[in-house]
Amino acid sequence: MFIKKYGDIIVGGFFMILSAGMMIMAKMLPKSTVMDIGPDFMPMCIGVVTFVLAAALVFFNVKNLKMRKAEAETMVKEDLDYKRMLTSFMLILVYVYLLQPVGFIITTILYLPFQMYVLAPDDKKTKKDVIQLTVTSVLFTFVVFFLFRYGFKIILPAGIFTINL
Amino acid sequence: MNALISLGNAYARIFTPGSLLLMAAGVSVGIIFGSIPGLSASMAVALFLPLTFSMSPSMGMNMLVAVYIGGISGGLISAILLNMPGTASSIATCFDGYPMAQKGEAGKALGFGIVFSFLGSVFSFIILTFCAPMLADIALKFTPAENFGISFFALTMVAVLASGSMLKGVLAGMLGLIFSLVGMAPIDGTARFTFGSSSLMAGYDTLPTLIGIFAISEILITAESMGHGQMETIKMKPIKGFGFTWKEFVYQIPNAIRSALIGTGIGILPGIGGSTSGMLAYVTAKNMSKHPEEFGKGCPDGIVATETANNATIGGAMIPLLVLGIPGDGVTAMMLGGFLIHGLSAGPLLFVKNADVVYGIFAACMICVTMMLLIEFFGIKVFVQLLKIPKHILMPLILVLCCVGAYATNNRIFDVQSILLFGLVGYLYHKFRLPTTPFVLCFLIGKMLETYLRRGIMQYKSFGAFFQRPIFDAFFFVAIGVVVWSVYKEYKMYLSKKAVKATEQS
Amino acid sequence: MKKRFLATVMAAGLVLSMTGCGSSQTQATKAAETTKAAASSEAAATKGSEAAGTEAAASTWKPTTTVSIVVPAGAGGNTDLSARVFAEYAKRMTGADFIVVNANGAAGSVAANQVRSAAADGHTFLYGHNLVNVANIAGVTDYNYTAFKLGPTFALDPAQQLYANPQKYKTLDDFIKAAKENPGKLKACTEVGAYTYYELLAFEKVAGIDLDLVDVGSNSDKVAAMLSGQVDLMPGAYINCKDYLEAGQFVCLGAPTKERYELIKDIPTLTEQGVDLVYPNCEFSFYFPKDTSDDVIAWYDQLVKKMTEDPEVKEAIAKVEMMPYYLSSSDSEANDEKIYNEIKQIADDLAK
Repeated sequence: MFIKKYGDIIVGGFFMILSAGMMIMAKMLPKSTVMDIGPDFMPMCIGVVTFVLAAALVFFNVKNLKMRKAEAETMVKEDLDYKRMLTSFMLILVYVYLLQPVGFIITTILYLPFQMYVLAPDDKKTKKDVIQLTVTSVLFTFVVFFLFRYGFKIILPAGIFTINL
Repeated sequence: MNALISLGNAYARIFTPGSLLLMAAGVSVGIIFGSIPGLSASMAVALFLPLTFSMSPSMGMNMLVAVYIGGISGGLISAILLNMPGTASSIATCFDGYPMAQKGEAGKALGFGIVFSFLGSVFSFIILTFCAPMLADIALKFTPAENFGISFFALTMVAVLASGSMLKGVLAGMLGLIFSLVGMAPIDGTARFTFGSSSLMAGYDTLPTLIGIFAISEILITAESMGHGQMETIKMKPIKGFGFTWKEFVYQIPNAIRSALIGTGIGILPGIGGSTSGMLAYVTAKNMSKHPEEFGKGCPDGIVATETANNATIGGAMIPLLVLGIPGDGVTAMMLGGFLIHGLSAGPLLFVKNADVVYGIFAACMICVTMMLLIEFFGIKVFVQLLKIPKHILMPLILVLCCVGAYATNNRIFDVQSILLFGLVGYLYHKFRLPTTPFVLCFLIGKMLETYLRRGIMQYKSFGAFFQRPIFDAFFFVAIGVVVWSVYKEYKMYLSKKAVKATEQS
Repeated sequence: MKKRFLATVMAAGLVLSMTGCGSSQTQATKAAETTKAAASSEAAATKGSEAAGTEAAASTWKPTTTVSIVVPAGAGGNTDLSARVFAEYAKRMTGADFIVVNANGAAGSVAANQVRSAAADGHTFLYGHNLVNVANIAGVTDYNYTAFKLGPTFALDPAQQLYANPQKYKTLDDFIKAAKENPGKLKACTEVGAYTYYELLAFEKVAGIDLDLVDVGSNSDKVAAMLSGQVDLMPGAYINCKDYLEAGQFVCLGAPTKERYELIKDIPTLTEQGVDLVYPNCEFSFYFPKDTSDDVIAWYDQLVKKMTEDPEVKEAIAKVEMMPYYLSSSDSEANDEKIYNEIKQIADDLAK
């Protein structure tokens, strides 16, 4: 709801701040020693265009604010599962950051069943399903690891267990 | 006449069971790599390059070609079935392929994609085999100024893509340009927006960005929409043969020819990467279609345009490689390395000294692309089974593969972490109803744009000098024209919408 | 449900058989390798005891998994090609797995950073010719070769020669004359802050000419620029230019080396022609993470020494138009220091 009403204004505001910041940082770049236009040229161009467009977006939306508010009220409320989304995001975040220190095999074996459980629809969360998920995850992790290590010669982070086979 | 005899000899030489088996293996592995969102065609070629060491030069090069062809065409499978492009060239296939799959027409979408991939490749291979030397010289005419012109032209396509909500679409694209600025500036190498991090010095790599924007955000969006608690299974309509009728096929032919020309053209130009050809063909098709509003809702034209173009790029990219020794993209650069390692000439003498290898490659192209057609045709039934795997199992597996693929790009964990960043960007874009396509297009073009502009100015001393070059003028002014016309169309649409609302309220 | 299960089992079986093939291949080659290695190590041992000044003690270390050779350049260049030759023959001679990882970007610092932060267990190293030093001199990185532990040197590519368009300039003198008549007009292509950049600057100084240095990109872009006539001069490695030379599209004005190398014996040196410029060659060495043990370095030392004496390896290197060139790790370090100082001198002279 909130996003439907104020979404575009937020987008416009964000881009205005971003482009302003970028232009300030670009001004601090050293001038080029070999040619006239330096590394600050492109960022400035893009910054200016973005700022102008973002300002225009905000302007148009403030003008139409009342109309959009009315429109938004009439739209159907979406039933969105933010809990699932956030949990998934946190899981992925943890997985990605633990991948190198802890190692591929362990993190993946832990991540997969958890993520699958979170994403599963409510009627598929029985014990039998959980076992199926875990087995699939373990199988998949090892298949990928060995396939990539020996088949494709891509070395995945071994982490705390160095598996040398 | 001589050429045809050499070609015939080449075919005869390749038709041994051993080499056919090797090529089939190459194509299959290529398709697998191409279809998995984390892995790419160039990764597959990089993998096979050392394997070719122990083969004869001709066989080795044929293998690489097989993998290349399989890899580029494999991207359409995951694009259609999962809304995640397997390779950068198949991004635009998602736009219409996935909606078709949603409607239960996955088989038909796959059929269109596969057949027209085949046709696009064949088209470019015919041109490669018979017209290569003439066309290679065109590649030389493109200096940084012309390359800038084309990049600029491609950028303005964003305006076309974003028609309907142009302001937001262009803004969405600007963020893509901003991300492409991060890293070392071209030419003088100054670090920009790296905040002291050495990992950011090289900027954001293409593959992790694409994986993040498409695959990761798709997972987050799926998670969000599970709120219903129920699994919807989509009824798959069974298909006969390739899934579409002769009439539908004939209808697509003009689209296919135009897209194949675009794809081959972009392949010939060494300065422009092949990943943009699919999208450019898509946008052109949308622009020139009689029913542009259907694009993005499941119109086969979109799939046909993209897949024909991206496969046509293969043949195009090999033209400067074989004739001039100048590779057009990452994969052909590796093929060049393959030539040199085997002691073959690269460049003008290749046709003279190692003509048998060259004709071998021509023959291999045709055979491999036919194999690709057959393998994928029989595979349609298997691919479609993928859709039967419940999403909550499939998505995490894909995510792991994406992480592996991102890691494998540069062997550093930073790329895996950046897929999360771009996943967030993709998700937020979805939430705020910003289109992701302009972002991707601008990101792909951003680096090229700046590099060619500055190189061109370095060479010609001023931007004004660019205008003395006719090819640049052509692209530049057409681009300006496109922008002006799109803005005008947009304004008219805005006015008519306002008028409609006014009548509604009165 | 049953069909799907069957399908997954088949798929898993297919995958496992692929890995089985992969590992059985290494096992088979390992078996062949051990007999071959035993024979050749005996020969090497006798040779080693004869020669003085080589690493005396046999190393007790051995790679236990795949070794990543990180290359700071894209595929197809002289760095990448010699690395691939090394990887292939090292694999054949030791049975261990060697792969080449292309990590180009940011003037080679992507590759350098990767190796610096890798585990110092001998399974990851940087392979290159002084990109590390040049990047430091150009100000891209704040470290040079001293941030690494040097391993042996494997191959040598003569300093990149100067190529020009034969229709405009037939000899070096023609070119210099034209350059003097048109100061700042003749274009030479390079990448700013790279190895060839300092080469051209030194050339300008010694020949007393003023060229217009333009950045056109990497090797293939330079070739394209030359073929289309956009630039007049290109420093290039022999392997990337020999075909154009043979086809008559390029002419080689000279090589900035001390004397003529067998490899490019038909190309006169710059010194012969009166331009006294000797630029460091491209000497490809191994750079290991700083904390790597001496045992590891010793193993690579022995391996590279053996390889550079092996006729098959020599032939493979010759095929990519380079020369085998062995320097022990301590010599490599001294060599790097020398080259670093040479290029720094050129850069400092420019700044004055």
